Amino acid sequence: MDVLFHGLLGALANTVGITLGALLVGLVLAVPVTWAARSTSPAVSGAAVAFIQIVRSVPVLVWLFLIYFGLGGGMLPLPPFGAAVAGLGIVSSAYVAEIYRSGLAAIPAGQRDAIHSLALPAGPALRRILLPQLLPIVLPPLSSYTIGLLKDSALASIIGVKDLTAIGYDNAQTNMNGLLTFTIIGLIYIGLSVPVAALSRHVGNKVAARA
Amino acid sequence: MERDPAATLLRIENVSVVHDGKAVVDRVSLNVQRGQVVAIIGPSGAGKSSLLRTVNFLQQPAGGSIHLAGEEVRPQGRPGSRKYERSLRKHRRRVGVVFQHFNLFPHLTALENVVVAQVHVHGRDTAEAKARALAELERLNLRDCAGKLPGQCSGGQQQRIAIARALALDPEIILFDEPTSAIDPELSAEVLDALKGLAAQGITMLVVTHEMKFAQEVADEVVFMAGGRIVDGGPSAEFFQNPSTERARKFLQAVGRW
Repeated sequence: MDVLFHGLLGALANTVGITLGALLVGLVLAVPVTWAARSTSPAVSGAAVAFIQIVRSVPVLVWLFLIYFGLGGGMLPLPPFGAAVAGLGIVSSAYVAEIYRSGLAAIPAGQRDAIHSLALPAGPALRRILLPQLLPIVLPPLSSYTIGLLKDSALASIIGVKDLTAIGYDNAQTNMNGLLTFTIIGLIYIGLSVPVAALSRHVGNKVAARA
Repeated sequence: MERDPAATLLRIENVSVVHDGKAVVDRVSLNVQRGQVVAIIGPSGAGKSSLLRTVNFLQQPAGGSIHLAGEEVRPQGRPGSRKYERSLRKHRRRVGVVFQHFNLFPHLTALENVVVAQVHVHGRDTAEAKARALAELERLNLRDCAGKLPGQCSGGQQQRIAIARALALDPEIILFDEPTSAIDPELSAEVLDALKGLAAQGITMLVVTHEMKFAQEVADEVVFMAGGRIVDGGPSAEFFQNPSTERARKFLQAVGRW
């Protein structure tokens, strides 16, 4: 395959790597953002809500340029791959924080009353009570977001990452068959997103069976 | 109403609750003696549940104070903040709550519902907590429910699971917020019987209820609230025989108890 389609395996690795890397950054970074957004201090929650709003209002590509050309220009030299993971990761954190936030809001207030009246400390309350109820709520939107992120990872090609889209472009330039080349690239993206959706359904069903 | 003041377990003093600038509870004072059952009755919107929720600060009182066993409860930090919740944990360990809508944990079995706080709040080991949970479930006739999720149990069973969950933590007083209001009438008898059983065992209870028969038969004292204030009350037998205010008399007539 690599002979027919020059650089395909490396490109596949880059696309998957950027998507998973950015997702991981987003999932982790979204935790303090969500925590801050729910703070009882207006200054803290205001800052978090502003962060979410600002991140979501600027095109993803502009964030990538800002990090790669802006910060990368001198302050924080990043390779294209690293800049793509950082940029998409920060953007993801804002979207994922909104998913966490709406998930927490969907848990009935009575659950919190019960947690407080039983005097459960925050750690066990989160681990034993809130997270198990949160997971089935946030999983479907998280998997949709992951599929969106996979597609957004193509933007990394613009800052020079040799991902699937970039490799498709390079190959089309040499083989002069853009239709076939990008059909194959498109099919590979589909092939990558199907398992994400399937996994989400599988886990969702498993959780639903327990409830 | 006055007994040996040394036996006063819960003292609610001048407590107010404000919602949207309106006082739904207006400077209410109330004492509960150890071993006593006190029923709070009155029309909807009288502030009964709000008052009850101030006892363990699920509702932050706008004024007044709560005293448990002679000590004032003073939460720290901003209401709703982690510091606030943490500062209340010691007090809340001593106060059980049974809610109108049960508020069981839907993803845990009945047994796990009764175990979880024992382990994480009282530090009991799992085996000990399980044994205690089974004993409480058995005491409330819930042996067959132990392995089921709350959603697989009837409303009456779910509320008894919630009672077992509270009892397993050895609270000094249990608050009941309309414990039968969300249950089919034919099933509420099993919950009321459970409450009767607890009363007979000398467990201190403060019960917001619309069940006049229960208030009359089981409660030692009745408090009648209307418009955010206590307007009548006294020893249950006397109150239902001869309410001293026109407002209480009207209420009892309306619910067919006078």
